[in-house]
Amino acid sequence: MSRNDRPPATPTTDARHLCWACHEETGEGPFCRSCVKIQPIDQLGGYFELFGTVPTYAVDIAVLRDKFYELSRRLHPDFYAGNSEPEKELARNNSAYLNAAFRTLVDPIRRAEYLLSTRAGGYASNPTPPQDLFEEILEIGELLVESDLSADDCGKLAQAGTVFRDRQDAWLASLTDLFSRLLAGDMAIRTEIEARLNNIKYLRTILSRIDRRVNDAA
Amino acid sequence: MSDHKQHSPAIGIDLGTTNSLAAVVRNGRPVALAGEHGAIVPSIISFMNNNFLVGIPARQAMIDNPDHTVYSVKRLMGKSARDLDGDRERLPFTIAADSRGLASVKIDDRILSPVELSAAILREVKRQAENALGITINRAVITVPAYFDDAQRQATRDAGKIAGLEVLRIINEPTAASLAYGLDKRDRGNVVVYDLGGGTFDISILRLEKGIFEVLATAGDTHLGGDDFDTEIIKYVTQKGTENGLPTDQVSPRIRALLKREAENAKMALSDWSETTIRVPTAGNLSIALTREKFEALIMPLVEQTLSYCRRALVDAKLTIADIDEVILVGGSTRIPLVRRRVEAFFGQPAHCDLGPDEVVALGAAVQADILTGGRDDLLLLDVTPLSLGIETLGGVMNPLIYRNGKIPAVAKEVFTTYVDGQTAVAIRVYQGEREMVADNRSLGSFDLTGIAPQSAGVPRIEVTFLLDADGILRVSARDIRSGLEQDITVRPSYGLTKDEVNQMVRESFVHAKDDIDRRLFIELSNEARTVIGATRKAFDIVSHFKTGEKEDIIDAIAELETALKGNDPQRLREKLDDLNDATADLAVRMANGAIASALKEKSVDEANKLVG
Repeated sequence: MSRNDRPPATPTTDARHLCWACHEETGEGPFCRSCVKIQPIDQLGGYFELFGTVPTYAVDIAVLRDKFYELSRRLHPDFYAGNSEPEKELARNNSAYLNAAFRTLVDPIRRAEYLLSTRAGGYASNPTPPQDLFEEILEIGELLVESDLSADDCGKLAQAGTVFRDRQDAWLASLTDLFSRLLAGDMAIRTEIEARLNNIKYLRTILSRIDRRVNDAA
Repeated sequence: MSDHKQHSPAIGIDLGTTNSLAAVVRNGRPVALAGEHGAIVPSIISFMNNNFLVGIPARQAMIDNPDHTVYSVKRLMGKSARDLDGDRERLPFTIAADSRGLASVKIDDRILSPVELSAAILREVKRQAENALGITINRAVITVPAYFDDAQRQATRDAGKIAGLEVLRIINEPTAASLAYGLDKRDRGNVVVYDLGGGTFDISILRLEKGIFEVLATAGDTHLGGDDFDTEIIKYVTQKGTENGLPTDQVSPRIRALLKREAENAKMALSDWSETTIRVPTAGNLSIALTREKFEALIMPLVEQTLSYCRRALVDAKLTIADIDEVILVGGSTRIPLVRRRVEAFFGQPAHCDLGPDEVVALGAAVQADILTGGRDDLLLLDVTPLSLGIETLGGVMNPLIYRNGKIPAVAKEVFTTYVDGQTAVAIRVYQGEREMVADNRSLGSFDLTGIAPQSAGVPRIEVTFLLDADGILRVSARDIRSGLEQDITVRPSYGLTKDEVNQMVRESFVHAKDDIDRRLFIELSNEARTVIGATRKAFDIVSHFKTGEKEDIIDAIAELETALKGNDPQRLREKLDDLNDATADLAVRMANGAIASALKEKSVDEANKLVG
């Protein structure tokens, strides 16, 4: 049994697709240009293409959300409930693909992973503790496994949470520049992005555990 | 008459732990469908001899016939008998395990599944809706707690099928409520739906914008509700009773049922009064006082627990309390002043229940039914799965494939292979839950890939697609990567019925008593009868010449048919309808000839008659 959760998209923008219903060429949108039947949207080239933008790390969340709502209005199974079984199945699959695309693009970490795997030959996730935060992480690690936390410990956890979150946010912001260089063809920058992403992912795990502990204690 | 099936509206049904009801959209607005006892059908079924009662009549039987009267069936849905060990004590009827260990109810010698029992409730709700609308109902949207797992959703779906309904969609109760509410009160902003019902608790946080209802996060507990508040009261009263000499060793089902009713009444009284008295139904007729203060102390830990779910949902939604624009209260238990007070204090703003906490869920389900049948396309609900879904990997570790609060439909693909040379089948065990080890999560079932061509270990590559559909129900399909062919897959649900079992119940369940078939027939015939009566009356306006006695015969036949319409005997209705058709047969022919004759002015009546003949 092997894991395979890489996004399925391989850019195929110039590939031609035939409609499952009328067997004519479908054209570029999610609907066949000849018979207007819904087509599988995972053949449109990828998540960015689906959202009608060029691949970039600097996305505008509000714009993405508007586009997600607009696409949902065209693709959601609710609007295919009275259609044929193949169309219903397509609507289900399309909607699931759209949801995965939105979930990926809207999240700064998943978006980075997606860009690395589709534009830079892949990405192997390997969360690593940031070197300069090693001491703090050790100390917090002990508190996280402590069975009952004193108010003082809770304060410490919350404080460390703030430090880690600030760091995470700063690093995430720095990815915008790094990715614009990568997407402009500077493949050498890839290693740096990957290392930073692995640090960010480590911090995110720690942060979610801190949040849970603080929440439980509240 | 055959085409009215397509035109009959789809209804929304709130299948509750304590109460159920149906609603439908009329002229663009959802309305609850009332029966002879009002809109609410208590979710209670009582058995006597070879018959059963549902709803208000069954409620009367709770005390007289406690061990033959079943309630809170929803708590049994998709559960094993072992899951319900904690409930056994307090329920007056017997919980048993069926042949596969699934929770069932034992009435005399019969083992009844919660799916069938729910079907009986749905059937009654459906009957009531049909009477209210005067047409047969075939399609419905049914609501479930947002925190229901796959097995519980499947069980609800199956119950609908057994009740003779095509279940267009299973939707979550808090989201349904938001749909009704959003339609009426607010169409943008971040909205919290706090839904505390008879048996379950849900919190959902939604973002409303331009007709889109996007669920950001949901959390809850399918075993926390008004029932548990009653239990706290009963525990307190029993303890007080024991101190006053009540023998505890023998609490009969009757006493248990009486105590349950007393507890419910006390709980409701304490919403308006600061103190009430509970009569303990024993020889001594003990009375125990319960103050609101004491009651609040008893349920406080449970109410606090709901707030910790609210906290978790906020974190998952990536929102803070300051981001929340509105708090909506749903479910009967939100009438309790303490609940309301704590929720308002937690969110720092007044909470609303303008649409009535009992009806709002069914109203929302009706709106969704309207959307799914093409009634409107300006509203869209984007919901999430409450639980992560994953498979077992080495060492019993949970490998999540779809994460909780992910939007549905959601999909994940995974490639499987064989471990042994010549292996032809692979079993995939699927779980739902947030814990790291599969043993701590809920087993959903085993999906067996079969018919794999025998090859060396590791050579076959089978891609399995796990898709959670818009109902939150898992669909699994598999494909041989090399050949591209569909791979056979057998589903063995852990806590549910197989397809064959459901089909068997559709055919054989006790739910399908003869009177149901009669009722359906009656409704269909009554439609036809009304149409014929209407057409005949219209003919009276057009036709001026009648044969001797013809008009009188027709008028008599109409009167008799109208009398039959007020009864419930389809046989008699058929006879009277045939009589009217006979009485008007000649008139109909004359009218048809006349119509054709006037259309063919140039031709002679004889020729026209030939054309008709």
